[in-house]
Amino acid sequence: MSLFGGVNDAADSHVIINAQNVILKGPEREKIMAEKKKVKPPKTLMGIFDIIPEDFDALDDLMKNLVKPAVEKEEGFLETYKIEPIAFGAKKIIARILLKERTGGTQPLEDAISNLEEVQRAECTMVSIIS
Amino acid sequence: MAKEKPHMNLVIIGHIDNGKSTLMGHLLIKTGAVSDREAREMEKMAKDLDRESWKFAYFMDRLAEERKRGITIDLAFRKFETKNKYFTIIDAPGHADFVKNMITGASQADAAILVFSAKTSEFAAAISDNGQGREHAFLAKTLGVKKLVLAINKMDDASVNYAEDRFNEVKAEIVILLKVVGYNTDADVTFLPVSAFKGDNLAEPSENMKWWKGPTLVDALDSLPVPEKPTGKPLRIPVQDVYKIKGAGVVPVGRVETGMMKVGMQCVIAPTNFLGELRSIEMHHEAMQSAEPGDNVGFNIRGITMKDIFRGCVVADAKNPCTVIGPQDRLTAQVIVIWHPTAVALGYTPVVHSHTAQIACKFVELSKKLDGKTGQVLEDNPQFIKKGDAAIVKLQPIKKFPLEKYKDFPELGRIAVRDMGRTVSVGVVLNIEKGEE
Repeated sequence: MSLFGGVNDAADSHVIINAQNVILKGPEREKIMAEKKKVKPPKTLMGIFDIIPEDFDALDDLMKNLVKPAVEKEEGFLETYKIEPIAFGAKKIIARILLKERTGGTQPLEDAISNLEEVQRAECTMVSIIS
Repeated sequence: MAKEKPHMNLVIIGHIDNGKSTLMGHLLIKTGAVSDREAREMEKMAKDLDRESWKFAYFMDRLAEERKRGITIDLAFRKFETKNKYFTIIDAPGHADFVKNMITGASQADAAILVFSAKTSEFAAAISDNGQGREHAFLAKTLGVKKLVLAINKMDDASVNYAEDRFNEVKAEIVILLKVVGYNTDADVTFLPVSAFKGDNLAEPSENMKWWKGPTLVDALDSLPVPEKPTGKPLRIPVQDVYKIKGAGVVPVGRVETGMMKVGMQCVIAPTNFLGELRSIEMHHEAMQSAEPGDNVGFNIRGITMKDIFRGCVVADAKNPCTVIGPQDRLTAQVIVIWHPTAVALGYTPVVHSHTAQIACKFVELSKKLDGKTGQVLEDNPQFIKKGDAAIVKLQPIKKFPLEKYKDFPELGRIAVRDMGRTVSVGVVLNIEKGEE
């Protein structure tokens, strides 16, 4: 099932209709589905991540030295970020990360960042296709 | 972007190949959010990205270029404005696992553009039993999207030829579908014919469809009602994080979902039942006397410790506390299974995500399997439910957590069922049955 017009494993339930308006089934359908899967690369997404650090000092260093490599290890790309004051001196980082549409969604990236000792929590609050 | 205009989050949904990306791209150009030059750059970027390798270098260069030109890199998504509003548009990923972000993410969609192709074969596919039209409409409803703009696309196709009859035919079928899902098609849905590719009826009335007397897509979006802030409801703040800050003590942080928060009020924390006076509120490091729905705030409650409040708790007015569900209770939910390697049966215990809480819950009853197309009960007490099934189920949490019925507090009544790092199911809480302590 594809929820929002998706690709790959989400495409299994697509109905294939030929030019004569006949619903294709069996090997003929499988062949077209296989071709569809082959030609469509995963989409590129932009995710907005909230990163809650353990400590509020040296956040640029945290992003450069720890978060960026962790994101790249998970095949994402940290495009940019900003540090936002919350309340009573607490701060959070809002990061814009590019990623590929894949099984697991944003979870592997959230886990990779959250597992850093210097990070309390990371959560993707918004995600959209960019290409 | 004119900040004084009301803002709305829009999600664009639709069956694959029905033209949603084209519609979104053309809409951004027509509203001036993206220039023709930028559109060409985006096209180039898309081509680069579609190559097999992951083009980090390209983005590095792009970022460097943006900095060189002194352009502030906005952290928000694509934005465009109409006469009276400005919008952030989300092109939702197709993969089921990304639904979690729409349930637990901070950015709820206020309205959706649902795209259907008028082309015979594509429309038949989208509306068929296995098509995505129904699923998308159901999910939009589940995700709390109250208003739909229904764009009947590809009116320029040779087989359609901008025909009014074809528009009416497609519209009639979609009306039946949306009524089943629960939309009031007169009050909640605006239908309109468009050609995303040619630009017909996007921002200006189409010369090719003079029969159409309704709004353009931009006009329809401009007239969407801005959702009212639920200030009159009891206070509910799901706690996102808790900090221990020198000089300030324990500082919980969260977004006010409903009601008003006022300094001096008595607050109660669910599920720990801690009761205390609200001493202070801050937003962006500025002290405030009150906060309203949509505000992301940090606050301080007299006498509170780290044991009394944690992520997943809900702060409420002491006079109107949040419902807490425990192992002796049952929650009834209407769900749709979006992924499972085999089937969901009694005893299955995945993790349920709702607002900021996550708790393991056991499936203790599969009450009804529903026909998603008609809403009719297909089977009472089915032995299992599988991918694609809609059902009414009962769940038992392994420990206490705060939750509300969807009809009372939609913000706290949506659930995402997760297992093995993937989203198994999404749904809404219909009822909470309290058992004996």
